[in-house]
Amino acid sequence: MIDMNSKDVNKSVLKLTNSIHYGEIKGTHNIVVATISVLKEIINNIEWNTAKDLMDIVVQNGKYIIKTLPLEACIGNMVRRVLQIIREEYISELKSKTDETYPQESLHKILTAEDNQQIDFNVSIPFLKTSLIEHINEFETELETCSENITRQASEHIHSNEIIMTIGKSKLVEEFFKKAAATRAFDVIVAEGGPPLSGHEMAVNLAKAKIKTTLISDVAIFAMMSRVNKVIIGTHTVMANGGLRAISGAHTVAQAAKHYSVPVMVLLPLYKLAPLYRCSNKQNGFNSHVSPMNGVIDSANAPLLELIHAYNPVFDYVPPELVTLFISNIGGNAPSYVYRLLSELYHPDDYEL
Amino acid sequence: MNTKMCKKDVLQAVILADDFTTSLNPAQNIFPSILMPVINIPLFDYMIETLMKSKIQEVFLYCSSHIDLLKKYTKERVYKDITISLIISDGCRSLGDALRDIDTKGWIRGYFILIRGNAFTNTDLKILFNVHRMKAEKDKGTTMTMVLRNFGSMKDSYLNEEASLVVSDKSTNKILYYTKLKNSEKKVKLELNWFLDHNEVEINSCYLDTHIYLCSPSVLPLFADNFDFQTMDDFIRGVLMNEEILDSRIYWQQLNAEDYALPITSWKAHHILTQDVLRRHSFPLAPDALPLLKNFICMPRSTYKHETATFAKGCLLEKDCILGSNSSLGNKTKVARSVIADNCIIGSNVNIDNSYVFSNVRIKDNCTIKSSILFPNCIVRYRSQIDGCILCSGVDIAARSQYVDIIIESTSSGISEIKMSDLEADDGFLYFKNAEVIDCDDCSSESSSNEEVLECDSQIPDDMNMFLSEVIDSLLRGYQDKLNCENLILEINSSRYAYNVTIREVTYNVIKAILSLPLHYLSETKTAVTNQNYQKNLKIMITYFNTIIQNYIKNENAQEDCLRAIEDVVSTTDELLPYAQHLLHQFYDRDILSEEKILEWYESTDENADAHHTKVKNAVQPFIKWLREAEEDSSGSDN
Repeated sequence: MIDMNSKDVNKSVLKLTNSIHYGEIKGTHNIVVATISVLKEIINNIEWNTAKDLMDIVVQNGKYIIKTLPLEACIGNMVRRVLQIIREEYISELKSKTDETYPQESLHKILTAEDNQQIDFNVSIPFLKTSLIEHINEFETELETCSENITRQASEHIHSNEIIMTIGKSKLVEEFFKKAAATRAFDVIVAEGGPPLSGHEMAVNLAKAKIKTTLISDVAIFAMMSRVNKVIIGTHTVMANGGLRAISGAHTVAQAAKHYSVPVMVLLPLYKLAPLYRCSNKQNGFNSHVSPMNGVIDSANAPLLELIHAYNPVFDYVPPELVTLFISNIGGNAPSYVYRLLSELYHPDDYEL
Repeated sequence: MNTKMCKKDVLQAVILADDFTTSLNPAQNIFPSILMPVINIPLFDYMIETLMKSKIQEVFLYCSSHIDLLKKYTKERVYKDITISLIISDGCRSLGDALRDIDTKGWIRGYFILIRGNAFTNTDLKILFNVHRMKAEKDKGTTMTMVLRNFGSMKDSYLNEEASLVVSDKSTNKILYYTKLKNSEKKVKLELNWFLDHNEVEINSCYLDTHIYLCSPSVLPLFADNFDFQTMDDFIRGVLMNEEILDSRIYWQQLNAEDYALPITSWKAHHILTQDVLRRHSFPLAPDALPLLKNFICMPRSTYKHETATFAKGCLLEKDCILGSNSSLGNKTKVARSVIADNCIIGSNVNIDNSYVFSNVRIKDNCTIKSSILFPNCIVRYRSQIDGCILCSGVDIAARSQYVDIIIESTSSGISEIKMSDLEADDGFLYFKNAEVIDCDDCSSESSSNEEVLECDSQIPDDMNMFLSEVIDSLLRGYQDKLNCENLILEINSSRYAYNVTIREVTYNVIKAILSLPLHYLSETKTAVTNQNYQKNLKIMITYFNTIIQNYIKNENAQEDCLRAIEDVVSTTDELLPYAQHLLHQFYDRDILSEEKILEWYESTDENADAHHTKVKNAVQPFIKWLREAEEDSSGSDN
C-alpha cells in the first residue's frame, strides 16, 4: 500500500494494515486476533515507562489503522479494549499497593459512587507489563471461546420443527445451526444474498450437515416469511444504538420479518460491538461500494455501462427497532441494552480516539 | 510448492514510462504517459497498487523522457515490499528500441510482465502470470501471452476505434491472427489455413488489448534480432507470420469478468477510464478505497467530495464528478461528469461539463467550460466560454473570450493556438468531445466524415500503398538496369512478407504496378506523357515482364485479380483507355487470361459499377466482339 504519512507508525502495524488491505487476512474474527497479537507485540517490544506513555502509543498506532481501514470497526474495538485493559490493570496495580478493593466498575458501584476522582496514569509501576500481557492472554482465550459460547445457546433459541430463515453466509450462524441440529430437527431457509450470492455456499454446508435446507432467491424473502418462525442472522458490526451493519439484503429480511411479526435474532460476538453511530447516508467509511461487475452487471456490456449507473453496496443498515434480540457470548440482550454492554466493554474516554 | 516458487526467482515487471505516441497531445510534452493524472493521482500509483496486490517484488521503470520528473516522483513515494529501479535512456523513441535497450543492458533474464505506460488494471497479475508460466512449461515456444479484456459489442461504444480482431485456436488460445479493426472497414478477410490447420477456431472482435503482456525470456532476444519491430503490433504480426521459423507462439488470456482494465490510448479512453473509476468499476482502485484517494465523501450518482472541499449555496454536483481537497465552488455552480483536482477555486454561476480541471486552476464567475481539459495553474477569467479545448499549464484566458476545439499553449509572447482538426488528420488524435453525441442522428454525417479521414491513415491501406510503391520501385529499377525477372520476383516476394500482403493482393498490385509503370518511367526520363509514348512503353514492358506476369497469374483467381487491376488502372488512366482492348488481346495471346474469364468479367454486372467502369467496358467492346466471333467460329468449325 502506498502511503505518505506512515512515519510514526510501528512496522508490525503497517504489516497488519497491508495484509488486511490486500485481503490476506479475511473475516472479522481473524482480523481481531491479528490486531490483538500486534498490539501485544507493541506492548512487549516498545519501550515505555508509564501507563500514559503506553496508552499514547496504542492510540497513535490505533488511529492509523482505523484511518486506513475505516470499514473494519472491530479493529477500533480492539484498540479500545486494550486501552480499557491497560486502565484496569493500572488501577488494580495502583490499588494493590494501597488497599485491596475490587476495582471493576459494576452498575451498583456507579450508582453508589460518591464522586469521580481523576486517576493519574503517570505513576510508573514495575510489574504493569507482565500483568498486562497476562490479561491480554486471558482476553485472547476469551476470543477463542467466544463463538463456542454463542453456539452453546443454540438449543435455547431453536426448537423442534421450527422454520428458520437466514441470509448469506456467516460462519457463526452455520455453527449455530449445526449445534442445534445435533439435538433436534428443524428447517432452514437460506436467502442467497445477492450479488455476492454467498448463501449458495451456506446452503451447501448446511445440507452437508444433514439439516433440511431450502435455498431461495432474494426476491422470495417476503413470500417465504409468512411461514418462518424465526430469523437468525449474523452481522458485520453492531452500532452503538443497536443498529446493524450487515450484508446487503439484511434490511429486506428484517422488514419482511417485522411485517409478519417474526422475531429477528442477531448473533453478536462482543468484539463486533462498536461505539459508533450511523448519522447519514453520506457517512464516510460506513459502507463500501464495490465494483458492479461483481455480480450486478456483466462487464461484457461496455456500451450499456457507459450510459448507466450501477451500484453494488456491500452492507445494509438495519435500524435497531427491527432487531428483537442479540445473542452474544454472555447471553441474550435486547437492542435497548446495547448501551450498557458498551459501557462495560470500553471506557467512555476512548469512544473517540 | 510455495518454497519452490520463491526459489525460482522474483517476479519482475517492466513498465515503460512512455507509450511513444502523440495521441494524447499535448500531454506528452508535459509528463510521460505513466504520470498521466487519473482523477488527481498519476496512473503510476494505480499501477503500483495493482503490482503490490499481485505480489510483484521487482519493478523496472524504463524512462525515456521527462526523466527528472520521474526521478523526483519515485523519490517522494515510500514503497514497501517492492523495489523500483529506474532504467534511464534518454531519446529512445519506440517500444522496440526500449526493449532492445533493456536486452543489451541485461537487466532481465527470466519471465517478466511487460506493462506499457498507459495501462490501467486492477486484476491480480500473479494469477495470470502463473498461467503463462504453466503454458510455457508445456510449450517451449510460448513467447508471450496477451491479456485481453472482453468488452462486449464495441459497435456503439465510445471505444470503437480500439476494437481488434483476434483469431485463435479455441483449444489452446493460440493467436493465429491479430489486427486492429478500423470501424470504417466493413469486411474482414479470413484465411483458409486457419480452418484447415485447426479443429476449432475462435474469431472475436470483442476483445481489447490491455497493454499488459506476459513475456517469456525469448521476447527480448526476438526484439534484438529483428530491428524492424518498432511497436507491439509489429512484434505480434512478425511473430505470427514467421511462427515456424522463429519457433515462437503468442497466446492470449481473458481478463476475469469481474476485473477491469483499460489503456489510455486517447483522450477518449482517458475520459471513459475516469468515468469508470468514479463509477467504481475498477474497485478497489476507486475513490475512498485506494489509500491515496482517501477522505472522499461518496454521494449519490457517483459524485465525490473531499472532506476539505467547500460548496457555496446552490451549487450542484450532477453526476460522475469529484471535487479534490481545498477546492471550492461558488454560488449556483453546476458540475457534471467532471474532475476538479486540488486547490481549484471556481467562481459563481459556472457550468462545468465533461471537463478535467487539474490543480490550482482559477475559474472566475459566469464561465462555461465544456468538454475541455485545463492543465494546472490556468486562469479562466470572467464570462469566458470554452468548448472542446485543451489548455496547457499556465494559460491565462482573458475575460469574455470564446474558444472552440482549440489547443491553447502559453508562450513567452502570449498564447498560441492549434486547431484540433489539424491534429486529427495526421496522427490518430481522438478527442472525447465527439464521443458524447454518439446516439444523435444529426451528427452521423459529421462522424462519418471523420472516419474517412481516419481511413486514409489506417494501417492496412497504408501497408498496401507502401507495398505498391515498393513493387513499382523494384520494377522500374529492374527495367532500367535490365535485371533478371527471376530476381525481381524474389524482391517482390520479400516485400510481400514485409507488408503482410496476401497472394491475391500481390497479383493485383503487381499488375497495377506494371500498367502504371510507363507513367513513372516517362516522368523519370523526362519524356512527355502522350498516348503514343505510353502505349509504346507499355508494350515493351509487358514483353519484358512476361515472366513475372506468368509467375503470378497461374490460376483463375489470379486472372480475376488481374482483370480487376486492369479495370481499376484503365478507369483512372486516360492514356491507357484506348489501348485497353489491345492490352486484353495481348494478355489473351500470351495465355495469361483465358477467354472464359474475360467474358465472365465483361458480363459481370457489379452493382456499384460507376461511370468509370462502364467506360472501361465500352472501350474494350471491340475486342470482346472479336472474341465472341472467334468463339462462335471455333464452335462452328467444331460442328
